[in-house]
Amino acid sequence: MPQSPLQLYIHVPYCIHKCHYCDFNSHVRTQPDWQVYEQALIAELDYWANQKQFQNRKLHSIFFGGGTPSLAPASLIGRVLEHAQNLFGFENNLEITLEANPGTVDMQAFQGFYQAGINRLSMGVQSLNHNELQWLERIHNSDEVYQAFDAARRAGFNNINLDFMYGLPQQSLEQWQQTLYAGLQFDPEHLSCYQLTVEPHTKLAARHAASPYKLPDDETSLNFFHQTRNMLADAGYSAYEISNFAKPDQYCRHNDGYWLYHDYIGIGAGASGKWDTSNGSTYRYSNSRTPETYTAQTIQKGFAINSDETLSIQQAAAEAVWVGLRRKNGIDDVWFKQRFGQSITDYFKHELEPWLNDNKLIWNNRQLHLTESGISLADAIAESVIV
Amino acid sequence: MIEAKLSLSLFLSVAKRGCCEYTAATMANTDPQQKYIRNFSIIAHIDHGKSTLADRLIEETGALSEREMKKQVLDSMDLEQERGITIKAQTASLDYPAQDGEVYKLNLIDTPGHVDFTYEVSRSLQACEGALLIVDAAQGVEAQTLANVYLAMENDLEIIPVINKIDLPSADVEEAKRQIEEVIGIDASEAIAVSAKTGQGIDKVLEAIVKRVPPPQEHDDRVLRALIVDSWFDSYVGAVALVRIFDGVMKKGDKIRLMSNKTAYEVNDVGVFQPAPVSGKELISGSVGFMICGIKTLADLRVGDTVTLEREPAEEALPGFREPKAMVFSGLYPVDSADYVDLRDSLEKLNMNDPAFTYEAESSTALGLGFRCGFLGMLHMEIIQERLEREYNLDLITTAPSVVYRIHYSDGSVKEISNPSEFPDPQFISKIEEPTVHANVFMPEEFVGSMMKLCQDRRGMQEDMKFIGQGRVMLTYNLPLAEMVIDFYDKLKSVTRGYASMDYELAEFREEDVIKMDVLVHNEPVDALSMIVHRSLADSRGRALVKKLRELIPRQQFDVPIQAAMGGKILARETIKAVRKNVTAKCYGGDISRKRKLLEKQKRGKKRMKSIGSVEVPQEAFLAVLKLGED
Repeated sequence: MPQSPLQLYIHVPYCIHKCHYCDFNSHVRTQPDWQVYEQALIAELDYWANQKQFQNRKLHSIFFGGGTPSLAPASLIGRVLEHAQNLFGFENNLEITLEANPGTVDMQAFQGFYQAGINRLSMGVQSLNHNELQWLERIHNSDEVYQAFDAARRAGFNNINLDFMYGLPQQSLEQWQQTLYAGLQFDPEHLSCYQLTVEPHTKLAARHAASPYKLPDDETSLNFFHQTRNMLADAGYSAYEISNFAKPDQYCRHNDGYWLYHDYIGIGAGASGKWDTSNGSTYRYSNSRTPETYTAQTIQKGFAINSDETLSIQQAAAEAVWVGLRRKNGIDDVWFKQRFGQSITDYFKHELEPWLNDNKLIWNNRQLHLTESGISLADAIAESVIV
Repeated sequence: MIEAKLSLSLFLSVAKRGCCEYTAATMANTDPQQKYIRNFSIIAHIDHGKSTLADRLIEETGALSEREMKKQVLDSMDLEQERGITIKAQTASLDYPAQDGEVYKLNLIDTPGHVDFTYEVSRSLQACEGALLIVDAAQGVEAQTLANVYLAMENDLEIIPVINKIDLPSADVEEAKRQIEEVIGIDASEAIAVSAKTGQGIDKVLEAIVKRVPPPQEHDDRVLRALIVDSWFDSYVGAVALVRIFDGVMKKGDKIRLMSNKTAYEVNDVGVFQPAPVSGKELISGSVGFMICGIKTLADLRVGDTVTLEREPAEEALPGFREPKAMVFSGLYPVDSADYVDLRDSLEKLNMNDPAFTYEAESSTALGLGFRCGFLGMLHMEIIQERLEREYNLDLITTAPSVVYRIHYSDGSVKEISNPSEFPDPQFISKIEEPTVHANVFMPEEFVGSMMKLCQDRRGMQEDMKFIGQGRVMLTYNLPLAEMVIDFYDKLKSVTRGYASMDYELAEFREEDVIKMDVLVHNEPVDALSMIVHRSLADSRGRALVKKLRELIPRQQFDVPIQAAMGGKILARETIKAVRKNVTAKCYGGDISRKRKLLEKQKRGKKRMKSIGSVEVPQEAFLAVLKLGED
C-alpha cells in the first residue's frame, strides 16, 4: 500500500472571546502562557517524529488553526516551523496556512508571520454586515477586515482565504449577496462559505432551544447554496469542495488533503490526527482539549491523546468515500483500488448504484464524483455507505 | 366467543338474596374441615381499590409480615403494576380467627381486572362461593363493576357489597348503596363501608366473609374433579395450576388426567398460597391450592379444564370450559429481518406463559416474514407486544389490528379471515359478516351527546340509555368490533374528558357492506397497510390515513405519493415532498470522527425503519390508522 502525503495540523486554542456559534476547541485566556504552550508543541512534535509510521516522510502541508493562531507571537510560529522542518523535512513549495482573526492583527504582526514562514492566510471574516457581525459576536467590524486584508497584502501574502457564513437568522438572500459581493472586491485567492449550523453544546444551541431563531428552511438554504455557487463561479472561483471556492490552482492543499484521505499529525490542545496502518485499518486520535491539561500531559510524556479509534478497512473505505465525495473531482478510483482492493462502485455496489442510476453520482475519467444535483444531498449519499 | 350474554331483564331485576349465616357452629352436618373454608373473590372496577383491599386482608390476617408486605402484593408483574390492573390471577389462603373462636381458611382468589379477560374472570368466580363487590364511595357503580357482578351472579355467588374509600371527602355511602340496588339490582342494606387505605372496616369484611359466604360443599368421597382456575409458567417447576377441588381429594403422587385432552400426569406437588407457596400432602374438596405435575407447556394446562384421576376418571367435566378464542389480530414483524428466528423463539416462550394468544407464520410483501397473532382483545394485544419488546428485547413492527370477518362466497362456502390480505375478490362474495359487541358506557350526563355521536360515527346502534342518578347515564350500544379496535377507547376518553367507563362483551356477527382499502406508497401497494373498512367510511378513513402517513413517513430524496385506493379507484392522495438539501457545511480534520458518528447515528435510526421499495417507512406508520385525527 503506497503511503499518502503527510500533513501537519497545529492547534492554537486561545481566543479573546468565544463566539456563541463556535464549537471548535477554543478557550478564552487573558494571558496565555505561550512559553509553556510552545514547549508542549515542540515536545509533541518530537514524540510523533519518533514514531515508526512517520519515518522518512516529509511534510506536505502545515496548517495553524484555532482558536485564534494569530494571537500567537510570530517568533513561536517560526520556532515551531523550524523544529518541524528539522524533524520531518518539507516538500517543495509546501503550503503553510495560518488562521487569522481580522480584529487581532496589524501590519507588523503580518510581517512577522510572513517572515516566520507562513505563506497562506485564512481570515475569519464571517460577514461584512455590521448587524450580522454583532449577532455573531465577532470582535471585529467590517472596517477592520479591510484594514487587515490590506495589511496582509502589503506584508507579502499572495494567497489569502476569506471565511464567510450565511443562512443567519432573518438574513435575506440580498443581504448575503451584498456581503459576498463586498468580499469579492478584495479579490482573495480563496473563499470558504459555510451555512450557519447550530452545533450542539454551544451557547447558540442553548439560545435556539430557549427561543428558536428563524433559520432558513430547506428551500431557502438550497437557494442560498446555489446562488453562492453561481455567483462565485461567475467571479472565476471553482467550487472545488462543497463549501470551498478557489481561483485556478489556488485551492487549499491542506484541507484538500483531509478529503483525499491523507495521513496527518495533529498537535496542540484538542488536535486530531489520522493515519492508515500497514494492515489497512485507519487510526484516529484526538488530544485533550483543555490547554492546561494538554500542556501538562505533553510536557510530561510527549503526547496527550484523549480518545482514539481504529476503523476497520470497511469503515475506512466508507469514510474515504464520504469525505472524498465532498470534492468537486471526487475520488480517484485508481487510488481507491490501491487502498481498498476494489473499485469504489464494486466495493459499495449495492449502496452506490441507486445514486448512480438517479444521476446523483457520476463517473468521469476514473473519478467518481457528485453531480450538481447530488452535491446538495452529499450527506444522504455518505450515510448510505457508512457502516 | 363469550357466551356470557346477559339479557336486559337480568339487568333490571333485583336479585334480593337472603343473608343466612354460615358460621361453623350452625353447620353441624358438614365435615369439620370444609366448614372452615371460605372461597371468595373481589370484583371491582379498575381503581376502586381491589388490590389495596386484598393487601389489607392479607395484612390483617398476618399472612405476611409488614416487612414482607410489598405494596399490592397481588399484582406481581411489572406491566400490571404500571397499568394498575391485574392480568394473571393469584391467590392467597388466609388463616382468620373469627369472632366465634374458630380459625377459618379464607381463600382469596384474585381475578384479572380487564374486559379482555372475561373468561378468566368467570373461571375464578366459578371457583368461589362468594364475592366482595367493591364500589368506590366517591364514584359509584362503573361499567366494569356491572360486567363482573353479572358473572358472579351467573355463578350463584353470595355477593357482599363493600363501599370503599369512605375516607375521601367526596365519599357518599348512601348514594353508592342506592346505585348498587338500582343499577346492579342487589340488596345493599348490609353493605360494609370501609377504607382499604386506612384499614377502617376491614374487620367487618373478614367477619362478613365468614358469616355470609357459604362454605364449600363437602364431596371428599366422590371421584376427583378439580377446576383449573389459573395456570402460569415457572422456570423451575414448569407449569403450575391453581386448582379448586370440587369433588374428591387430590394427593401428591396421584396419577391425574386432564379431561379436555385426556393426557395423564403424576402430581409432583400440591399446596396452598399463603401467599408464598407452601407444599402439603393433599387438597381436599372445597379447597383451593396449587398443583404441579411436570407439565412443560401451559398450552396443556388450560384454564377452565377439569382435573380428574387417571385410574378412576369422572364421567363429566365441570361446566364452562372453552378454548380461548382470539378476536383481535395483528401482524408482528421484526424490524430487522435477521431477527425473525428470535421473534419466533420469543413468541414460543411467551406462548408457554400465555396460551391465550395465537401465532402463525405469515409473510408480507412489504414487511417480509413475520407472524399473524391473535389476541383476546386490545389490551391483551398491547401487553403481548410490550412484553416482546421489553422482555425479549425485540424491535417490532405491528400492523393495525383487525378482526375476524365471516365471508360468505357465492358458491355457498363460508370462510373466516383475519387479515385484509386474505380479502377475496368482491365478485366472489355474496355477503360479509363482522363481529359486534354490546358496550356499556357510564358517563356524566353532559357527555351523552358527544358520546352518542362517537358511537354513531363508529356505526353503533343504540340499544339502551338509562339515567342512573347523580347526573350519570349508562348508554348501551351495539358496535362493530372493528370500530372498537381502532382507537375507540382513546376517543371515548377524549370526548368524555376521562369521565366515562366502558365495558363490552362480544355479541353476534352482523352483515355489513365492508370493503378492502389498499394503500400505495410511491405507487406500490403496501399489503401491511391494507385495511377492511365499511364502504360508507372508506372516503373519510382513506383521506385521514394518507394525511397521517404523510406526517409519519420522513421525507426521502424524491417525492413520494401516498394513495388510498379501493379496487382501482383512488380515494385520497398526498405527496411527501423530497428532501432538497442534506449536506454538512463544514467538515475537516478534527471534525471527521464526530461527523461520522452523527452519520452513523442517523443511519441507525433508518435501520429501524422498513424499506418499502426505495422508501424508508418508520414502525409507527404501520399503526397510523390508530392515530387518525378527526375523521
